[in-house]
Amino acid sequence: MSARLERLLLGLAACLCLALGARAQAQAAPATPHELYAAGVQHYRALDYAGARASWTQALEHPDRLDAHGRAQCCKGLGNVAFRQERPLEAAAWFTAAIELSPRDAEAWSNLELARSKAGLEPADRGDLGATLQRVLHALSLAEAEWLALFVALALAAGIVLRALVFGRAANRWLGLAAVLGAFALLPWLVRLREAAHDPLFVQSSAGAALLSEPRIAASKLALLPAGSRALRAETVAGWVRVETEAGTRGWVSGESVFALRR
Amino acid sequence: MSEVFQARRLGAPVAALAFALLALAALLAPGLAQGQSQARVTSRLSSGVVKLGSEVTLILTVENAAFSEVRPLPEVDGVRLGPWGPPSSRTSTAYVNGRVSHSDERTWTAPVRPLRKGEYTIPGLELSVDGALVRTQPMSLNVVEDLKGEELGTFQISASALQVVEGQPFTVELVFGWDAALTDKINWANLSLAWWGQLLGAIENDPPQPAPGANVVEIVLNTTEAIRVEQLPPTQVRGRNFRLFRLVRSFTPTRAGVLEFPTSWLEFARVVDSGDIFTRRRERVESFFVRSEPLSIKVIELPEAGRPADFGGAIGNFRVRAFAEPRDVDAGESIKLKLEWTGTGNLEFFSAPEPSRSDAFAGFRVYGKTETKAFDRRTVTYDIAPRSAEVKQIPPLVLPVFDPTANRYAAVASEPIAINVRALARASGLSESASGFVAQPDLIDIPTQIEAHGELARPGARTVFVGLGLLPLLWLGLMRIARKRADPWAPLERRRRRARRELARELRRADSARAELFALQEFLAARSAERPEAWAGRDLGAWFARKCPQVPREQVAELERLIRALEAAAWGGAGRPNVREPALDLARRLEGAGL
Repeated sequence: MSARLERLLLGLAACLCLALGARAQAQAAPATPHELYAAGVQHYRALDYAGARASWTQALEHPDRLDAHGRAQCCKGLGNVAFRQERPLEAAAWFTAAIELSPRDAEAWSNLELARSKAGLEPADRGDLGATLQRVLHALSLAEAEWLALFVALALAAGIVLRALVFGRAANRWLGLAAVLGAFALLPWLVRLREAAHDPLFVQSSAGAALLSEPRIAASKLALLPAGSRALRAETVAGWVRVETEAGTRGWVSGESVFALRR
Repeated sequence: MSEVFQARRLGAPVAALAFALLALAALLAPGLAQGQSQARVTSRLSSGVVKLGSEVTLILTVENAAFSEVRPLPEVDGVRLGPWGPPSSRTSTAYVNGRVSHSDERTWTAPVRPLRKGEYTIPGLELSVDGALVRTQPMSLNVVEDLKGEELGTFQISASALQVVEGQPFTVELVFGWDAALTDKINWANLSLAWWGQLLGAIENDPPQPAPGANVVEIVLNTTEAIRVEQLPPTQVRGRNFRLFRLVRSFTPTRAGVLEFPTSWLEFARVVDSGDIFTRRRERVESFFVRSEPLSIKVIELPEAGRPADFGGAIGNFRVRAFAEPRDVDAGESIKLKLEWTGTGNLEFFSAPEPSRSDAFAGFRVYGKTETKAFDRRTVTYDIAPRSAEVKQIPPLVLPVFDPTANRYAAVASEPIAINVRALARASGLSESASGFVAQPDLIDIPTQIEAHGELARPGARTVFVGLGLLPLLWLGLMRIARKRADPWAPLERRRRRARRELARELRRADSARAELFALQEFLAARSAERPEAWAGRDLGAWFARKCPQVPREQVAELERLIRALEAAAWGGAGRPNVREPALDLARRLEGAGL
């Protein structure tokens, strides 16, 4: 009897240990990105901007990677935090990052223009022909542009089949028109493909970023990247980033003065 | 008086129409010639009437041109023109009504000596302006032997001021007429004003309206135009009764300098019209000329000393009256504040004061204003609203004015107007908008949750490249297949398919054996992918044996008989055979046999 009771007690103790262990494991397990996002929203609502920033940053860097839409939401949240903390340049950087992830997000565009206006920068979409063309070419993400390109290829293939086997030369004109339109539809993909290898940076320092010839403070200043301008990251050395400007000039800038737009 | 001039209006309708067309062309020609240039070219004679033996001066002025050069003067029979004198240049900068303007002016003069009595037209002068050839308007010159009109007529010209400042309007009054005893003899009058439309450095304002009930008549201006003038009551001049007329014009000088009004002339005459409706002629039975003295008006610059920062270009002696309706309002309710400036000055041109820029109007929100301008009156109605019940009056609105009489700047202020403003219930007054609500742009808030969209999988660049790269291969392959299948849409194949249908149609239309023969040859050519001429005189047996051996020989023989019959009818004069049905039947069988 005592042995049975002893086994029973041992069994209960083992169950208790397992339950406590499982609970402890559950408490210690990292939260999901969605939970981190929700926590960030709670902090934000409570005007705890530091907490919101920490939660959304963790959500962005979480191993269980959010989809592009989710990451764009986190970037927008971090942009809102920066804006509320009177850091409009950083806010503009976060909203730009959100647009990189979700190019047609009207809310991100609206917040970006507001942040840029507050930061004293010209609008991201100036409304002229060049800006409109840029916005059209960047309206699709890389994946969407690839699918569009594949669809174009499929449509052209169908056109070729119909031309060859059904309609004959009568379809030449339509096939030619489809080829021209298809070529235009390929432009967003080609643009995104070219930019895919880039690592764009945003100058978030209000004083701009000094472009130095070497990664040390005393190096020669080659140029001054104005606040809000963009550059491409070439390499990174502790605290320094080697960049290439839009004008093609290469040099080093302080890592703190630039913001990585790929998130 | 009106019947005196009625004859002129009705007497030359054709000439008037022709002149209107000429004037339009003359107006358009320099404009077109000048193209994009901002240059302005004027030409005038120092006097439109000259006594034989005297001379006048031809004055040509080019304004605001980078390059200008005169061409040789035209030749006019009876008048000796030129030569051109050296040009004189002048550059000026003017400040008028708050605007700074620069002008460059180049002037040439040439003497004009009449050789005999008569009316002359000096053709438009040609000159090169900024690379374009410009032609001025023609000018008329009347050369008279005697000026006995000086005794019988009168012509006075006067100005409201002989010295004005830039932007200060002035009026020029011309009073002219002739002895009332000549009333029965005079039925035509012509004002010869060489300066008319040619004044540089001044713009003409809207002419003042004649007094109500004034007798207005029309007379000739510079021989070619008509102008309305006011007829004055009979007046004593030099102890005699004169019939007088008045013409008043207002000008605003745009730059410092001297405005010259050279000698003007009045010709009054008795004319008779002759000829028929197509060849109307007007002859002066007797003419008289009377001239005015030249007039100069000095234009001086606005003084810089004491000029208020908010000076809006008002120059003159002004009075202002202010009206406000309603005066008992709620906070935020609109009040129409009407200010009316009158007096002498550039009432049409100054910039009305802006209450929104005045600290005195800080208690009001200004929505805008509406303006009406006239020669003698300027009315501005402001739409304002008191922001709160603390506002007790509409403060004076100040207009800075330059007083040319006192030669100093002054302020013309309206009287303050007391108003009663009631506070709105549950409202704090008018802040930035009528309702007190002010929209402020702000961030779009974050969503509470992330909607799961799912990552769109990338097909990959390699897949896209492969897909696009396959297109040319697909094209080449399918085209090869299409060619092997005898492209059904190739022109020759389409011609081949519709050959029998075409044959039926051509046979139906054919009105001779020759046309039927051609139709049959066209059918054979379409089926064999050849030209129709190839089937003329062809050895059918040999061709079918070589090219289409599958066609039965009896069909070939039948075809030979058919063609032979048609050839005999077409070329040999034989009777036209009935081939329509047999030909169509044979064609169907030939197709079926593989032709």
